[in-house]
Amino acid sequence: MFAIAATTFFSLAQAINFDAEKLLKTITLRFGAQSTQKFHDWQKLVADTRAISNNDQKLQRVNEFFNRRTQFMEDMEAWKQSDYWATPMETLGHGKGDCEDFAIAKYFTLLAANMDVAQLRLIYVKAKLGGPASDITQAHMVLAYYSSPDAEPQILDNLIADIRPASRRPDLTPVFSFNSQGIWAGVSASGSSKSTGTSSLSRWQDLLNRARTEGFE
Amino acid sequence: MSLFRQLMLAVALSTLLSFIGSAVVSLLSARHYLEQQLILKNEDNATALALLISQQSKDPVTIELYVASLFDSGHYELIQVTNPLGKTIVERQTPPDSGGAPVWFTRLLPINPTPGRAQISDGWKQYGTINLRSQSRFAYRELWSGASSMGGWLLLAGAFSAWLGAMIIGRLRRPLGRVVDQAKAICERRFSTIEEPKVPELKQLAFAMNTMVGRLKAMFDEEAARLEAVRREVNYDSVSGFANRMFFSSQLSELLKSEEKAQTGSLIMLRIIDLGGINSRLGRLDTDRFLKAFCKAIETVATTQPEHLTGRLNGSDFALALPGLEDAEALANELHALINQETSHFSDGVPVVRIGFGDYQQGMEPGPLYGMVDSALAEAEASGENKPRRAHATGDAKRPASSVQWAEQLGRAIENGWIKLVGLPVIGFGEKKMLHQESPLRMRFLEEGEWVTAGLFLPMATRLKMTSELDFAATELAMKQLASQPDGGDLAVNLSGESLQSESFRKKMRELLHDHTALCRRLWLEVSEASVFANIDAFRAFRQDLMAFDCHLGIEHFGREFSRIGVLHDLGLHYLKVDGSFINDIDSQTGNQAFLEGLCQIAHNIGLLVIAEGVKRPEELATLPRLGFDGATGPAIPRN
Repeated sequence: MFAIAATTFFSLAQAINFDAEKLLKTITLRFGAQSTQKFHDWQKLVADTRAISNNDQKLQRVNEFFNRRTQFMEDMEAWKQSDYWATPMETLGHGKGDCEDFAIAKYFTLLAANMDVAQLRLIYVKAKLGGPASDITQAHMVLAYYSSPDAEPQILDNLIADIRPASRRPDLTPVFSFNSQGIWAGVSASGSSKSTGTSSLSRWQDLLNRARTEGFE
Repeated sequence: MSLFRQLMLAVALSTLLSFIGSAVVSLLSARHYLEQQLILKNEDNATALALLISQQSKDPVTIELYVASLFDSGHYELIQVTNPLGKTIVERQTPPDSGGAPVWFTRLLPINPTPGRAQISDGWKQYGTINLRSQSRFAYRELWSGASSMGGWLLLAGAFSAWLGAMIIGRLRRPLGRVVDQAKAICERRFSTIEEPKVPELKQLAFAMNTMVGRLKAMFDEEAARLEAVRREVNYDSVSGFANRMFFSSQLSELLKSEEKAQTGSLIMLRIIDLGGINSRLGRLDTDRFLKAFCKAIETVATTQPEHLTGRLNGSDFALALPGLEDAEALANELHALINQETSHFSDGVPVVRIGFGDYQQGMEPGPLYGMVDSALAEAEASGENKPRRAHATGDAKRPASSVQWAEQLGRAIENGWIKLVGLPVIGFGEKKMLHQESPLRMRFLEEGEWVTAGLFLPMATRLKMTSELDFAATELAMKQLASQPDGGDLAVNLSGESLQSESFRKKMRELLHDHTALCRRLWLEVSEASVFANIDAFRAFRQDLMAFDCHLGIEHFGREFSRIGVLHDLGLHYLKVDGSFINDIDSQTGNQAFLEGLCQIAHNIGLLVIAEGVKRPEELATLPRLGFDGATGPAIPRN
């Protein structure tokens, strides 16, 4: 029975919707009244971005919104945990985050703005800090946009403020990519189940679960 | 549906429901758990494979090798790599396998984990997507073996709880069964109490029923006591406790007529010498004491004889009838000596009593018999001889044969079938005009001999303990007669109490009745009151034997032991035949009318028919319905 429902969702879950009231309630409850304005700004961003048909412009708006408003901070400092994946509302409300928090917030926002999930990938990359010649490397996460399945992706990250094609990011070496295609619905089936327990979920599934409880649908 | 069956069903259903419920819940949760594990496995393996391929060169052979090596472990249903446009690059697939579980089971509890998906990238470029589905065979096998062992346990536990339920219901059933039996017994007019069960509800029920039975008994006893008082007042002398003249004469005339009584016997008459003088000498109080001692002496001697009758004919005259006693001389002497001894305290050695005695034969009238013995008494008085005087016999005394000859003759008669039943009608006053035919036995001792009545051979048969043979032969004859006359009326057969004592007789009777179950409805069996009370345990046992059959059971010659009617209430009898001595001149005996009216009432209360015996005159017959009798028999009823 569950399995049948899951397959039905599978095809529908291209974009992500959200329950604005519930999201607002979540964010004000956690980050106080001053976050209300941040949420309304975000809500306006989503509405505006939805209206734009050009995907490049959509990317531009969302990338700018988060890069400008969010201060980079290591997880240990921001969340008192060594590696914490914050939900979009946490990143927005807190105003702080590390690389994957940027990427995730942008990913969710773009999906909420009707971007096709198949065109987006979250990618683990090896980043050379201080340019391609640098020896200092760091584990990093970026959001990639594929205009077509075999196209060269555009890279959205927090190290470089503007969006560039992958070939212009020699400082990054891709390792593994993923998105919520197929999982979002799958998580909906298992995520609500108490018997499975959050601890047995992957970090990604755990995040999807939390986003769902915040008000993403 | 019976209460027990409903209880059983309720227990079975609730057990079944709870077991099925728990089985379903645990199967569902097991299935859910297995499904979750498969989903995680799909995800993990897809991700691991995608990560591995992403790091390697992407030539089709390498990818196929990776996919094949994972797939060939046998734990996968499907591993598929598609390019970003959805075209399949590599695919390995086996059909789903139920792992030994039956198809209906996999349909009932399907395990459908979502497949794992992961992206393969080639540098920045997308290379494809992995779709991976694990084999669900293992999950099905686990689930099926779990379900089968749970089914086994369910059966085991179900059997155990059914056994437990049966035990509990059995525990309930026994006391309830007793209550039901009591209720049935009440319907059959047997009033018995039962032990109160421990279950509170049943205890209340049993308590209520016992109380009701107790009240009925008390009412019954009270009424019986009242009637007994009436009977005694009417029929008995208050000082001696002996029958008064009227009642004694009535009993004596029964004795001289009844076919069942011994054909010969003795009558002893006693007269107190100068009772008036004694009275003035001793005073009223001591005279009463003297009379009591006198009567006690008579009673002591009389009780050594069966079916004796005692009477006080007037102030100073007493009489003692002893059926079956051929020569009363020894007994009269004994009586004489005992009286003198017992009353010596009052008499100062002066003779106090004169005694006359004589023999009688059936067919004599009471008047001449009295006259005969009375004249012997007169002779004794006149002669002044201080010893009993024998009366001169009037008829010719037929001497019976010896015991050995009797035994031979009785045996031969039964063997040759020289017996028959005669029919004496018993009419009913209600809807049924003919209740049954009383069927006393007649016997002849020669092939073409004369038929003789029971009074001639029955006392001898009793002495020789041959009544059971006679009774069985009579019942057998009655059965034959009933069978040969399907539309004929009912038949009543007399049984003697001595027969009932015999185990083998009762066994033969049971077999006989069992062979003719359909005819039992038309068979009435009766035992005389004296026999019933002398053999009460045997009678009870016989009553139990008859429970299985439809025949009627009654007591004949009823009335003398009326005070013991309380013993009869739980026997479940069908009818009483009231002794002829109570019916004698009933049209003019208002005292006995009151007694019989009460008797009828009390008998009707416990569901007994009441029949009058020895009705001689139409006037007597006419009085009976008013008193509550249901039927009558006797010379006044014409034989058809």
